[in-house]
Amino acid sequence: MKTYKSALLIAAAGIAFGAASAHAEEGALKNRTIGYVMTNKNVATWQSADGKTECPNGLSDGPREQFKALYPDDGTKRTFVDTQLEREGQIWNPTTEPESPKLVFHEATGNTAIGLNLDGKVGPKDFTSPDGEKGIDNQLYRVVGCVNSYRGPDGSYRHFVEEYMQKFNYNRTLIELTDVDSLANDPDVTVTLYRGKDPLTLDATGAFTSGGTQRVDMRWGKEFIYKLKGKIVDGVLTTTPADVTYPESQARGVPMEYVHDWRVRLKLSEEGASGLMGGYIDIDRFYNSLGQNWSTHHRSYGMEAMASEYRSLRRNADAYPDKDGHNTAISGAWEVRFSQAFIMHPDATVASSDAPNKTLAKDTPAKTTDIAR
Amino acid sequence: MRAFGKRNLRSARPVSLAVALLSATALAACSGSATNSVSADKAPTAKVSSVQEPAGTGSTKRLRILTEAQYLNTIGYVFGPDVRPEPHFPPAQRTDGLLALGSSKAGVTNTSLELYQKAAVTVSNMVVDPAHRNFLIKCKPVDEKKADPACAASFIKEKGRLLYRRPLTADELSKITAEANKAADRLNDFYAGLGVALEALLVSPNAVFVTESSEPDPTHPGRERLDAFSLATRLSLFLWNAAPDDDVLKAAESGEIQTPKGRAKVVATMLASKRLETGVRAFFDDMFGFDDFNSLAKDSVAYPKFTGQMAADAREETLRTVVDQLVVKKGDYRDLFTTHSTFISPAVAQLYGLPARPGWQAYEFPADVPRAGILTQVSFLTVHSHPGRTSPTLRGKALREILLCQRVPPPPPNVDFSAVEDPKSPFKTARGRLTFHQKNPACAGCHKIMDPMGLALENFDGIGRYRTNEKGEEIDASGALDGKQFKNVAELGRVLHDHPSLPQCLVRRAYTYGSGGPGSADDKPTLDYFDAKFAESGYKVPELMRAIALSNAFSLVTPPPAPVTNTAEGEATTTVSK
Repeated sequence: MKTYKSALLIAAAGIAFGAASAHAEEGALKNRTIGYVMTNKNVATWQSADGKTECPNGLSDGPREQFKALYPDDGTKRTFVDTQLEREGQIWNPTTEPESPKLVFHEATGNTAIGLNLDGKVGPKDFTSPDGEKGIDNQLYRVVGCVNSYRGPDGSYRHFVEEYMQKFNYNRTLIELTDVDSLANDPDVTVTLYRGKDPLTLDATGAFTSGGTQRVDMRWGKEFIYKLKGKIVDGVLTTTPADVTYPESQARGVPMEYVHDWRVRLKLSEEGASGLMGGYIDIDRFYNSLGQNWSTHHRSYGMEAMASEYRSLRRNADAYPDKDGHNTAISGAWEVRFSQAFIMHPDATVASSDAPNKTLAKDTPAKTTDIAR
Repeated sequence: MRAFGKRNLRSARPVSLAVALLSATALAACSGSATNSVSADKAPTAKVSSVQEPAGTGSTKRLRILTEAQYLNTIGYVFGPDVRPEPHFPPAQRTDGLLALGSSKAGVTNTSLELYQKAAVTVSNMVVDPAHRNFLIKCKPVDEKKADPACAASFIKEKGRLLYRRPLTADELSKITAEANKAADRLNDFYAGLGVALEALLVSPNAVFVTESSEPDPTHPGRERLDAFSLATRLSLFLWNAAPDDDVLKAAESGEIQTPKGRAKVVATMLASKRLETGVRAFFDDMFGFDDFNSLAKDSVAYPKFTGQMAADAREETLRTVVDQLVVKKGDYRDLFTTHSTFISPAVAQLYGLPARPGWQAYEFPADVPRAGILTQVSFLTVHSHPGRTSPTLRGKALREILLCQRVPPPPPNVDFSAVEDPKSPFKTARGRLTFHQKNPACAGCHKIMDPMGLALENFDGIGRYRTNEKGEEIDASGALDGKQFKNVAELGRVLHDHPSLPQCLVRRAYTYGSGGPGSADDKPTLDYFDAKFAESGYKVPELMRAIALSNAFSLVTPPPAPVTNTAEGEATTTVSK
């Protein structure tokens, strides 16, 4: 395994001197390096054919429905402060106290979910994946599985996340694989995360496509750089767990997600990569990002009642307890897709001198605690 | 011109009448006689050359319409780059390999004149608007709500000279100024009145048409030469693709441009100007037929990666390569077909499998990468392919016609394309399909001329991406060009580099482009002379342009050749045989 500095030097040299063989234009794996840029990211949400397996009581109410339940149009005179502002305040000051029984919020039921086995165990709360893998840790699915926004094919966030992925560069997430002998099998590769700063590349049909270039954001993106270890088995990349912060903005604010034991499982090709990323999501950051990212307008269309959701997040939290024993993180996963992209470093000198001496890979799974629901 | 006064009621009719009158005058004046001559490059300061221009050279006086690019370049130089209408003038008909030559045969309708008028309105409105008037109009009226004859005359005289490419006559200045004043008083706005006058200048046939006129040449008794302003305009359109600037017009006004030394100085200055890059770009964009990019479409099922941005950038890549190689580096024209130097943008870099930062950057393909010369750039490969597949035939035809000035006859009307178009063809490669197709004797003759060079480019698909095989079968890119064998596209580039017709073709195109119309069989001695000058210079294009610009062939007038009707395409052309 080469050092981080030498990997950057090789990458920079590859860019500076271009292809080295007559077939250099063939294939995206050059100089034992390949880069990918994220193009799609959706909370992993398994859905049965009719939705009744996971949501037998239907979908959760959203802000509009909850508002109507709390403040029916029955002739009562109400003030702005006691209605709209009251609800807004509850969103930004969430609590685990029981809420009004008038409000409808359904958690997903059943044993099937998409995700990763984060702790290497098969616990009583764990799911089984649609293809039969046991021990799936995805308690976030319990929380959002019956929230319209997250469900396909037309969930509000599924539409907007993809649109904003294309429109804005803030979330530009890059994965660079170095020291790669083969995209089919390599027991030891280096996986470096960056934030990019260029638009995504589209083809003539408007679809994301490979072959674009992403410059590494070394100005404001240093905090999102992580060097991890990984391995490729039968074309599938897995990475060792690490605590990772990545940008998570949907058109407004500058929020981010903080994920313990973050890792990916991606099917690789020279055109792109797809699969899952997951970990234990810090609940406070998740909730804050949710509020910053989405307006009541978006949440209303997606029927996402944040204050109700907060209670559910806390109820289903399953890792990283605080000093009082309350879990602060919840297992979760995202379905992700990447397009191959050339990752361009500022230059060898700058890249090596600016590279963070940050290696957060962990050799042991996180200590987790299942709590009663 | 009766087009002043009520701006909204103005029609194109008076303009077109004026155009017709002016055209008739100009065409009637297109005559002259041949005599011995001394070319301008024999000026005292010119380098001694062993190559001498033959006696009797000359070219025909032309009446041509400004192309859209010439119009826009001129407007940009006169009023600044942000004064830029989007006129969409009708394109000229490609003639003798060049669109520019079609501008000397352009028909003008009232509808197309309306486009010029709309452009004139846009320009005049911008020039007199509050954001531009303070620096584009040097004088200030005494009262903005009234006419100011002195200020109006000053502006009209200055800009009219640049737009007409000659000073306005006293009568023209007086009439246009009077209309500006009348409009200003009627509209209670000096600048609105000035805008009316400017619009009239812009839409005038004197601005839109280039009408060359001649005068007796005192140094060549019995012969006519272009008058000073016609010569200034011909030089400027040739070298800059724009109207002459103030300095060139001054040289015309003083008569300096008609002396060998003065003309050499003017040409040297123009060749040293940054505007030369614009002129060279325009010439090669025309010669390479890049107007085809305006209608280029690729099948998004076959080539989903190919976008409109890639098409635009592919064109730009080649033009940047041309300017860099020929103008900036002053390199050998023939090296364009072997060079590994290019420029890449993020869009074209995708097709080359390269990273690229935003904007344009110089790039050098490694020596062992099969990209050498502009034939292997995306532009040539893409334009000369079908929407959904390559076409060795189209590529070979383009190479013959565009780069070697050879003529490939059109296919017979009843040709059977099934062998090359059948998606279930048993032949995996284009070579196999075309070999089968050539079993038809009616097709074989022409395909043998075109296909070998096109097949050498089969390592690049229909959007210019490199490939080693087609449907799993390795591509054989070997062939021969006029008796010279090559194994691959790099060797084809070298064979082309050394092909005698390559520089000769450029000479022919450059001379006809510069002189503004198709050549004739009588041009052979002239072209031989330029061939020799081009070779003597080391095939440096600016030197070829200098030789043409300083030649008697460029400035002395000969009678127009009798038109010969071309049977194949209905063009009225004469053929230059070399």
